[in-house]
Amino acid sequence: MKACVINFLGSNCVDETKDSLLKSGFSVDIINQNETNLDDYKLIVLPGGFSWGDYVSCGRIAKFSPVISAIKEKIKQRNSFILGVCNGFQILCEANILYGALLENENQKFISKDVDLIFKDKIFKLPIAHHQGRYYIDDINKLKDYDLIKYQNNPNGSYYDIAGLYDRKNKILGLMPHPERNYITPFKCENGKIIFDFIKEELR
Amino acid sequence: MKLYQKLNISDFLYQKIVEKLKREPNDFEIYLFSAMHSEHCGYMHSKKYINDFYKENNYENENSGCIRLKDYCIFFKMESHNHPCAIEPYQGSMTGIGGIVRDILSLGAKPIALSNSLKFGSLDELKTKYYIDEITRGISDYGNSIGVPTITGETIFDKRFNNLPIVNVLALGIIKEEDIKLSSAKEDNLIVLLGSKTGVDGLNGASFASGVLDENSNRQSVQIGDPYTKKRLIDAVLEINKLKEITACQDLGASGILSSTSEMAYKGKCAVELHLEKVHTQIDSIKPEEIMLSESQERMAFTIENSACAIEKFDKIAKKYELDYSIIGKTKKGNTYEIYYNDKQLCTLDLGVLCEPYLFDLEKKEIKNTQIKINKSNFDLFKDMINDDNFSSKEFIYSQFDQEVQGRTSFSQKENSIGILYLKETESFIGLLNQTTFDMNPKKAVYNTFMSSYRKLISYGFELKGITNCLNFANPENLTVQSDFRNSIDELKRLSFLYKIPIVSGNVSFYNEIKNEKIPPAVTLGCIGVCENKNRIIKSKIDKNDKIYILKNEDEIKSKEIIFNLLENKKVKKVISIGQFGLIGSLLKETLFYNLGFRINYQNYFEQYQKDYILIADKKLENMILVGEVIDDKIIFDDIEFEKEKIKNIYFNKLIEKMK
Amino acid sequence: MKIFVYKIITKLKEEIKNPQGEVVENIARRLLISSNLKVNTGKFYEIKIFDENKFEADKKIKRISKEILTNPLVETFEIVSVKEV
Repeated sequence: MKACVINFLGSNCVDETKDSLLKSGFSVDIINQNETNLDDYKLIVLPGGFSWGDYVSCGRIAKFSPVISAIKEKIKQRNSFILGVCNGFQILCEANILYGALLENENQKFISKDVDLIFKDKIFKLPIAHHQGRYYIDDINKLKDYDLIKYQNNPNGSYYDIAGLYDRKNKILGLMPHPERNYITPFKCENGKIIFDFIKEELR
Repeated sequence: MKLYQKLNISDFLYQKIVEKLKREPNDFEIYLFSAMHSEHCGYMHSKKYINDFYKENNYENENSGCIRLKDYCIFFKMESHNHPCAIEPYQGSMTGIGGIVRDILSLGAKPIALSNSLKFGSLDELKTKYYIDEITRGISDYGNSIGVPTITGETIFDKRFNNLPIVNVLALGIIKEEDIKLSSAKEDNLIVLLGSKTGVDGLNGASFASGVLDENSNRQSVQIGDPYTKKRLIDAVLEINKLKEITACQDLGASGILSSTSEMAYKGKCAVELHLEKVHTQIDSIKPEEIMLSESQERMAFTIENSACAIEKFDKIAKKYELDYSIIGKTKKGNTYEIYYNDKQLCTLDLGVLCEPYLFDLEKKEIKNTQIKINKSNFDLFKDMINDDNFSSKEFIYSQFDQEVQGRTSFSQKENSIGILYLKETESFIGLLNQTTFDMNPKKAVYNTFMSSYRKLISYGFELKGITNCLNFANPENLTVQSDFRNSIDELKRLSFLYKIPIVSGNVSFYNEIKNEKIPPAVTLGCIGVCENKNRIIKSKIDKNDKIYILKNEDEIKSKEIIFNLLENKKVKKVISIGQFGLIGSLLKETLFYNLGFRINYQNYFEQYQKDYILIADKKLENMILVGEVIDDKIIFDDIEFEKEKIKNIYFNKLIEKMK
Repeated sequence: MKIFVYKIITKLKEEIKNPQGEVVENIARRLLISSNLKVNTGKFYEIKIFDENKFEADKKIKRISKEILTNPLVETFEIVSVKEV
């Protein structure tokens, strides 16, 4: 199955995301923000990083990229999976592909640590590394078609302890934690596999 | 007052310039000399002493040196950014990272790790909290954004740094040896400047960092960091340096265009001709001398073959990353440095005169051994330790640094006192740490730093392979400072030859002095260890009832072999080298991490940096001294007993509480 | 062609917890300056725009503010001044 990782200007988790997808059995292309043809890809990944330096606000400038319009078209065809990790999740929210917004952390600092997550009756650790990861939604009812990934101990003040969202209908997953950092590196746990396996399952 | 005096050139140095030049320099040239013949650029008080360490031909004359692993080179270097951080800590620490990353990048190496050594004042000072907040935020905003993980670091609190924090940062990068780009220019090439527009920020930064700070030290000398542009610059330079048409690459740091273009030409034994009106600038009203001296960040210089094809390839990459560039001049046969502005010639200088400043001799006094014996009970020494600011978890600081971006970090500050990276390129691991120790005797301080780093790497299964240094001292015109500096260097030299450890790169920072307060000699070593055997690295949890042993270290090399053997055969769970707080402090940090205490019965509990190793094992170890065991909720040594919970709270919460 | 200088502030909506604002509130309270205050924070932009007339410039500035400077779910903007120079 073919996947692509979008290298926006300022994205910085491209290589490890690619390596993780390869290990999960995908073949992987790296494309840039100007790509508009996504026909080949079953999985489209918006990786972590600081697209456009996070200037103005995280993910704000990236949403004007041609590839975002292409992703919106692709979603309508209902034959692919979209994953946004960290900055990728911020971009998906800014572009209104997922509901909600990500605000500055409550302690106003960058937080880099391992957190316990709850997803589909599983509890597991993954690392977070962000400055703007406090999830906000004005009305929780908007998320009724979503599965939620929650923090066990909320690190950043996210509303409803939300660490990530999965839009079941459209197969769009947004995550603040980084699965690609706990999968390919020796001596790290392999919890990232839980996320990549879930994606493969959903694409089956 | 004459112009040279306004620009902080002493009468003595001015005379030396006139002698070498055989004429008076013109005003424009005086600006150039004020930067190139400053301590910061010219290393005038240190150059005679820092070049004869043990070396293994590791590109020591480039912007940074390296160690070799298979066909790859691991470049690393540490640099100080003390003066800018003292007056504008946020921008100062940002551009500190920016600068050191450029030194690695200019060789074409991909930056893959950062670390830092931060020295702050007492935690009871309000100013210290301000410095901690701002400097941490600066490193965090910049390092995280450019996507290079900060895998380790040290933080020291000491009242001698109350008014002047010391900020040393280290960067490490990897490149295949055959792809390295050097910084010596070739004749008849074009000189291209890539990156941010040249502006008036960071003007005179070099001469600013070459004097003692006072209240009037102005903030215009501080550069402004732009991590987003740096990130694009990194990606672009890695691509550009692969072009065969690129003949040399040099970063723009202190004294910007001036020092990078002159040094490239001087190293390559050719002449330079620059046309300053071609430089892309922030404002139109910028003066020629400002263009030359500006330290605007996020810029790199290249020499490229003079052909349409070369320019086209360069242009394509610059456009891809949305970066500006300008062709600002050329190299030619000769040895002159010629600057033009709208066809008006501003100077023609001999590159040798410009690039070879006067070098000072420093005094050296032999060190008298004045050992102060402290007669304190073990109970009091324990109390002193837990009341010390330095006995504290630094999580408040390192949790603001991205430690795992790029996916290479096997262990970071979260769990280890060294950072461990996996290099997929060479299928090996490297261990990184940087350390500073202090002592009345500067040789002893260097000895302790060197040896404790050496042993700490061994305790994690790594062999020390290379060192970078950052030598932070006060005013070098002071005789005590001169002597301390030379004695420190002598000791580092001795150890580097004794253990055959190359000192691949380094940095000297003088004039760390404010309001007559001098910092103590602070020699920080950045140490790289290598481990080719994955089995030697262990990830195991300490448990209750594990036994604590001491390995008497009679011979460093033999002890290394014993430890590697124990690690490879999984006979130990943990090997601990002894640090600042002695046997008790080093053991405590490890057991508290697993929420455990210990009971031991031994000796010299608080002697700093002892050479013996502590071993923790759940199996019986032959030939080791059994001294105690891991227990649940107490810390017991001799007949002294403390509640673990209380000590744990102090250790983990001290910094967080004090930062509130 | 005329030149207009717009000053725009963007801020978090009142109902959203604003930690930076809370820090200011707490310190003002601790220093006994006032205990009865609500602080919001935001960003300031100054935009110089070249256009035929103010009507056209206004339209463009409003689009920029709405589409680029803010996320309407969490932020609002306010044009605080316009000056023709």
